[in-house]
Amino acid sequence: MSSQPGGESRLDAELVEQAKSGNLSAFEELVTRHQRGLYNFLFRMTGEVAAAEELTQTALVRAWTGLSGFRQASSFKTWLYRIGANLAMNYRLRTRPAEELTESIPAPESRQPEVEYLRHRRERIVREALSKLPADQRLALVLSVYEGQSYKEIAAVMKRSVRAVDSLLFRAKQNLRRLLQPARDKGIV
Amino acid sequence: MMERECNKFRRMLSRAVDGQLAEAERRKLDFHLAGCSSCRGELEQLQKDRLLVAVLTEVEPPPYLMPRVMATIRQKQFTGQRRLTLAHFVRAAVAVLLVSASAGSGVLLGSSIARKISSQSGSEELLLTEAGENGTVDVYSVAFGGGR
Repeated sequence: MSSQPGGESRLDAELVEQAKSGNLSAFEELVTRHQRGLYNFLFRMTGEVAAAEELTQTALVRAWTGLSGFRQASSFKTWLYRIGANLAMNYRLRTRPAEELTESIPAPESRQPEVEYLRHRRERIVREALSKLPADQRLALVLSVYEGQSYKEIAAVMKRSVRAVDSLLFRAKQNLRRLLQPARDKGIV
Repeated sequence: MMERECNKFRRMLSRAVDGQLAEAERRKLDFHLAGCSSCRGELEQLQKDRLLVAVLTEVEPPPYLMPRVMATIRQKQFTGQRRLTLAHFVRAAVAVLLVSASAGSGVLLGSSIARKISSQSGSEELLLTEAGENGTVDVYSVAFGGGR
């Protein structure tokens, strides 16, 4: 993705070539480099820890089995996240937003429990609002905010026009504001 | 009149918080913002919303995830190789029997074509040609009998 420095992409490209020749250690190195980012991306897309785990595993295994067909027209990271995005979109079609966020992330221990509690509550509300966005709006927003992708890059991942991405993000922000308004009125966010 | 004017800048404000404004658009928006408190407020709110989303804590993947992924891949690699070896061994064995009895023009074996050819050394070789994945054609060679 655009946030990945050029040197990192080059190293990925070398590892991909080695992995394509059957070097499993090279692929293991790619997994090490990307599993955390991919896991977070999928957690933000699904809102569920269990789903993020399952989809991360599926995406990485698919990347391995499909590696011979990967021509490196894009970076490995972009390709991997595209696999993840497709899985997440399909997953979102199978689940209803109301069923999501049944699991919550345990709050880390803190010396300031009250501050930590408020932060944790705020985050839960924001995650809930994100989970209620339509899947395509959410994907565009996640790629923009967390992956630092340009509209052009998002359009490539989503196979949409730049104009369509512009509209999606505009609507996503409007919806997000509407969803956060009750918490804002209570002074929580 | 002002509201109608502002509506034209709403999309631009959205692109601005994502850092996606072209230079000409940026100048146009800055000029408008200088005289419009409503749009300045809108921009500020968009930036706050983006920040709320951006600062969500990252989650740590469970420690067992990566070993599990690699174990699945190793398992797939192993079963894939085993399946390939067994499948080709069986096909080769059947092909050797059929082609040996044929006139040498080739035998259709499911999706494979087996053809017997003679090598310069006098030994005979069986070529198994079959459709691979992604439209490729895989050719396997099995030497049998007749060698010097």
